[in-house]
Amino acid sequence: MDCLVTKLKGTVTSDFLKFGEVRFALRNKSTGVSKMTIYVNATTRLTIIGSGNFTDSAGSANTGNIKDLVYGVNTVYFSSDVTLISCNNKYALTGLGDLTAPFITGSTTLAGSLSDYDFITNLKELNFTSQGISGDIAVLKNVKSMTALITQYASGINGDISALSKHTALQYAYMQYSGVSGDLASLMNMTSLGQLDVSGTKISGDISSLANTNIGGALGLDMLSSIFGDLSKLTKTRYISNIEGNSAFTWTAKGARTNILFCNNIKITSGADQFLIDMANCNFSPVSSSEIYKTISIRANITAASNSAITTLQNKGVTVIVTPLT
Amino acid sequence: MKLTKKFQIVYKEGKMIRPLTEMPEGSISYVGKGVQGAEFDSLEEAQAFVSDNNLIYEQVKDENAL
Repeated sequence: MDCLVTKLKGTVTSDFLKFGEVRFALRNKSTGVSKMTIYVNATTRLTIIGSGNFTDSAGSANTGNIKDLVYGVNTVYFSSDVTLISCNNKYALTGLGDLTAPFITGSTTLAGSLSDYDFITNLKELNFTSQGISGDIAVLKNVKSMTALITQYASGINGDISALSKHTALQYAYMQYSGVSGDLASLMNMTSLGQLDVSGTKISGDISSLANTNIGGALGLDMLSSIFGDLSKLTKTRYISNIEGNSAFTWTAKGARTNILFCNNIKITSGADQFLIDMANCNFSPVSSSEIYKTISIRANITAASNSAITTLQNKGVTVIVTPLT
Repeated sequence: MKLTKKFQIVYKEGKMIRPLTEMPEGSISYVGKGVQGAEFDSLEEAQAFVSDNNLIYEQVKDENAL
């Protein structure tokens, strides 16, 4: 079959993204060296575009503007005047930061838009703690193999957590004090989820949505006033905090719970006596040695029915603070 | 030990488990075994106790640091 080929004269002068490329926009915030923690599963090259250079941990050496990454974790240092780093293989990226290390630390913060991070589909861990990047978390909708999502204190990151509803591999979700919103029900199928902190966000919903999760440590709900429901549906969580919040919970029965649920400013509108009785029959297994994690601080109306339970808890080393509801 | 006054201090090894503020009316602290407590009717008395015993309160910010 014949076809017509039309060739236009001219050249492309814009610096378009190449196939598989992602660019990390950066913003300087102080003097000194900057550090990137990045994981890959295949050969990948980083190239500094524009000013700046890669360096050593002391910031004293100039090692050029190209850095080849090796399989696994890479710690990359660069000068504080770097504003753009190109990565030639975003499909090889498995970690932008990790559970303990944010993606970028030191004199630089991540800037630009979260939308630039679309289709990094093999990503397992993302740690954008306190980063200056902004945008809708929905861009991570297709990154379903993710096990750790950390957007804490990144106030520019927003969007509805419903975009994460199919991220059933997620084990750690620390989104506190970021701009995310939505309903806890979006997390209901996350059976691997072991740690969750959504303090200071715009998240609301029924706590029983988390019944099938695996949150065995701390659950952070500080500053939230629109969480509600039966706390006893959480059978593994050992610490829950609602500091400066006014969310209202109920309690029905101990169920499968074996460990004490330590509380920080938890409002229980019904079943508070039963809660204390049930806690007295649970094991003392705080998530931390700090005394605050060995305290049950509730806002509730209790009766003499829980007197014996309180004594039992005190003997276990638990401090119980009860503020009556008005 | 049971604390019922306006200013209730629960502490262990120099650290208070909550900041020194006036407790809402009717609040009771049932102090756990091995933990210490003190209570006062006035803020001045409570502050003096905190100062004399070098007590500090460290805010818990990141549960995920556990």
